[in-house]
Amino acid sequence: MSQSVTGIPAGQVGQVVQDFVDDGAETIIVEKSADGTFTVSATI
Amino acid sequence: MRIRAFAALVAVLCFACKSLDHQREEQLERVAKDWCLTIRASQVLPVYPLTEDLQVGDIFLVDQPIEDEAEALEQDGFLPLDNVIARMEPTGWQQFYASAYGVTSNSVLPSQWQFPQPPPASAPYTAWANAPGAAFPSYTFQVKQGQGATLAIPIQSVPVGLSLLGTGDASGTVNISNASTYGLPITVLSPQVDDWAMANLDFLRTYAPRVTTDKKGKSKTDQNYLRVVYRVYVSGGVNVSLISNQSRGGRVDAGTSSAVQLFDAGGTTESANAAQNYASVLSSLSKSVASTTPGANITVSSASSRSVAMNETFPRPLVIGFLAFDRPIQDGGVLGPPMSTHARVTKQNINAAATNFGTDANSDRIRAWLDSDPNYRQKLRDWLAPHAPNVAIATFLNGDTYRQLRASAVKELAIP
Repeated sequence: MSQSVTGIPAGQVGQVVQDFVDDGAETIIVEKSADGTFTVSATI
Repeated sequence: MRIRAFAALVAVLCFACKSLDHQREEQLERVAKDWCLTIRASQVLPVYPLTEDLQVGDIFLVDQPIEDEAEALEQDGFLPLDNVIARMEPTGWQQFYASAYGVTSNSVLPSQWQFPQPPPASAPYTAWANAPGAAFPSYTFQVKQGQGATLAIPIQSVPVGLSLLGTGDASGTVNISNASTYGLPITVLSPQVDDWAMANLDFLRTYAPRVTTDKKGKSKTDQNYLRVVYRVYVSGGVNVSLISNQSRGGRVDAGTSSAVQLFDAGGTTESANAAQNYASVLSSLSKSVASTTPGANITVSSASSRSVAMNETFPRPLVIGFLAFDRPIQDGGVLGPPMSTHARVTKQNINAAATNFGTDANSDRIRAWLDSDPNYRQKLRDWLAPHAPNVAIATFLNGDTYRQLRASAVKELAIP
């Protein structure tokens, strides 16, 4: 099951990644968008 | 003694009748399920019984737990479509089809294919031939007269074929012919469902999640869904071929049997005459079938002493399958994200749609609660399963879509 959260402000990326880690994610990808926000995608 | 023997005979007869009824019921169920499995093999959800009256934009209420639906699909082969609550008139056809297939800005689908204007003076009276095409694999079956000769699908060719062959035991193949399809992408249809939902919030609110307690005192949440049809598959008819399984009159056939011997093509041995006679016999057969089965449009395309092939055209094309997405009805009647119905009921992993970031105070409360006891994570997963299937806790905590659901979780799980 893959999930992604888009439009994350830079200061919140760490928390989102931590939430996916706590959720047992197998892979996590962080991408930066043109508007300066981030997308975190994970496979769980 | 005689009375006892008579009673025993009656009991045996009753048992035999029940057993025959049971066998017939089992065979009909089997035939219906095989038909549905053929449709499902193409990653399409079968419509059963077949109907013309199912369209893209039809909305159904699903009040069964997903486990029960998956079990019903496995057992019967199809999903019941009984709780229709609305028929939207979706827009966006011209853009999606880029003006192909006769779709214009004024198009109302599928009306323009169902009831073309001006109405054609002769058959076919519909214009489904203009719609995008589709194809399905063939479907094989066994049929025994007296048990399952009346198929549970609207194919009249089968009893007709059995009658022509003079047999009650045959193997058959059904090819779905003249299949068409049309649909809209979820990204186009789902926002239109939101508009419909906003206009019908009072109705949807009555189907918001409800916590109930089962007989063992365990609380559970009843979750309802809206099921929205976004693609349908239509068929104009079927091609049926039947091969008799019975050997009659001590005749032994090795390999193929001689053509039209059963129907007496005449005594000539000249191939030209034989072909002409054969065509003439087929034409006569088709006329004979037409006169004895009013309402059915069946033509015989080939025949021999042990086999017959027929083309059957439905009076009007029928919907044989569909694709849909489900949206959970959340607190206040607000709809959750769309999920593929097919993926849900076949228990596939669903790639949940990407959600925009949006946290609130409840996100922090739930995180703190999760950190306070390692068992709470599983408790939250169990709670999420019916409310937002296939949504990870991390997505639930950080998604803007899940604000309302987080508030419900805090309330229902008594999160401090």
